Amino acid sequence: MNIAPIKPMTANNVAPNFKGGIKPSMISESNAFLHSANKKFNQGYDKSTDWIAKHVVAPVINSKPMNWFTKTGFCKDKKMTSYLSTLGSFVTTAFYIRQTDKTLNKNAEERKRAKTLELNQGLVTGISTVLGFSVNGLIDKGCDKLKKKYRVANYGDPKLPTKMKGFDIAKQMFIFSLMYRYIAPVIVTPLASKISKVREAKKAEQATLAQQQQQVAQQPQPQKVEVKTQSATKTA
Amino acid sequence: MINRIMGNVIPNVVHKAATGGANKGARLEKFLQSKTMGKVFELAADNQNVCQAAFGLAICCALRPATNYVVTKDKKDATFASAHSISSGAMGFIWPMVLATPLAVGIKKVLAKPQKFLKPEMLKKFYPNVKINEKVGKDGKKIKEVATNVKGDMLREDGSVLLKDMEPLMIIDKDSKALADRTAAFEKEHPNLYVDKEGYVRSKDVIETSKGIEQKDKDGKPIGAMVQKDLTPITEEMKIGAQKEKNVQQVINNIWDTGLAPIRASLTIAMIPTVLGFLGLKKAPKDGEQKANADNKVANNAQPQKTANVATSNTTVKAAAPVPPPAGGTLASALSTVKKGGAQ
Repeated sequence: MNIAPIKPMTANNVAPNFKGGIKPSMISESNAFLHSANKKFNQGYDKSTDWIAKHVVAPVINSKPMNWFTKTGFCKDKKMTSYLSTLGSFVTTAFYIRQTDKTLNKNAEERKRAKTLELNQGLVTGISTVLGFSVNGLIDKGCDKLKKKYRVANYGDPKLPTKMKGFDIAKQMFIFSLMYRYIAPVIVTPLASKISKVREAKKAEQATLAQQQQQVAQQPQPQKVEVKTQSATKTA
Repeated sequence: MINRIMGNVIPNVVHKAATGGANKGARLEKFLQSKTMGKVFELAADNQNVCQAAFGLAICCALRPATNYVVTKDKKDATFASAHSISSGAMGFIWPMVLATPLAVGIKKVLAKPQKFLKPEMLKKFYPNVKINEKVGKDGKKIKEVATNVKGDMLREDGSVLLKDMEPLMIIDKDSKALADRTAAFEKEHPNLYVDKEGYVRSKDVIETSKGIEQKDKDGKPIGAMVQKDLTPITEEMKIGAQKEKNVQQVINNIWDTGLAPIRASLTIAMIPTVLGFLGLKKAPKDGEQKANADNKVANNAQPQKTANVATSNTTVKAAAPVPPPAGGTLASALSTVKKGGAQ
């Protein structure tokens, strides 16, 4: 009995690639379209980034505002990543506060609610920022030691200069991302809510007292005042 | 106390976690040489927006959902909160991936060959020792040009090729005897240089300064400046120049993203219900949406209308008087700001 020989691996008889993706050698002639499309995409992308480099990035770096910026102390500050993260967070918070202000304005109750929310938003961002800068400062010395060890461990790597440049940036980014995206919603928000709650309770207490005083002034009859005070407290 | 914890205890715990307590050196070295760590640092150096978004993605898609499930008693509520967290993290990643990467590549191209793109005045700020030539143009005006060699490399004021790589030269060897031999041979060959205890090659002629003040060691001896791989001392001016280049790169990478943050936030919020629907959580009650943004807090998603106050009881809204649930996704969006970071 003749057994058909096992076909050798060709472009049209492709073995599964368990690592995923498609190797260039796996694209058969019939899929030459993929080759050319990929090539054209890369060429186009390269040209577009060349254009961005020449017409966007270079003019921005050569501009007068950037020239002024390079003369400021900020430009040589090692905490630039932290400042930029904070700026981004402040802009976003300001946007949300504005949105809350715009949306909750139908009546006095909504205004009150909006103010509480805005205070909460501001507190969350403020506390997270303070925490971010504090943690960043506190672990600075430890990170410097780790940085030296990293340099020694990877000495000779051609990409070491880039990696060392990214070390400080990554550290600051990680801390601020952790603060704004994890610590803020998980820990700071309940804390800010409690602060707002205490503030509201104090306000309510003050309002009740003022109301009591007003009622006492208007109707100086001890029994009637007492009854009204109780009902006012319940309402609050 | 806090200083002690943050300065010593935490780094020690991290160090022990990395080293496993035993066979420290080898494990720490392996940990520091890991490819993932290297890739993260490369990404941070070249494309800060995507790096930050990647951290956000990891936190929003893993850490926060895990916390939600551990902390929140109501698992249904935890699912909604986690879905919100995941969707905001994912969208926060897509935005910079699409918009920031071409710009980051453009910046990288400019900084790879700055002499081709930047004005000499700006180059001088980044590389203080670069040589600038002055020529008289056709119109009689003076023109400044960066001095380059035939290959187009920038030159220093002394005529040597400018090395942009600011990494200090080191002499390191695992074998202490071999290290001592190499150090002795190097110092003999270069009498104006010495190798310190950590392996850094330092200049005897140029002293390291910080804010213009000469640095001294514990014994009061002046510390020499580290040197580049071509044995050029790295002065404070050069370090400041490199920092300026790094900061300008970061500012250009980030400032547009900061400017567009409100648009990104609006898009993120607008897309959250769609993503929730895609995940099969389309019928999330409005108050559930609001509450879910407060993540790990207990809320009653099941009866949002009847228990509007309860649903928001863990946010500051509790302090306010009872208010009917707001209508429209916009308000839900505004209320989602309680979460702040999630929608960033």
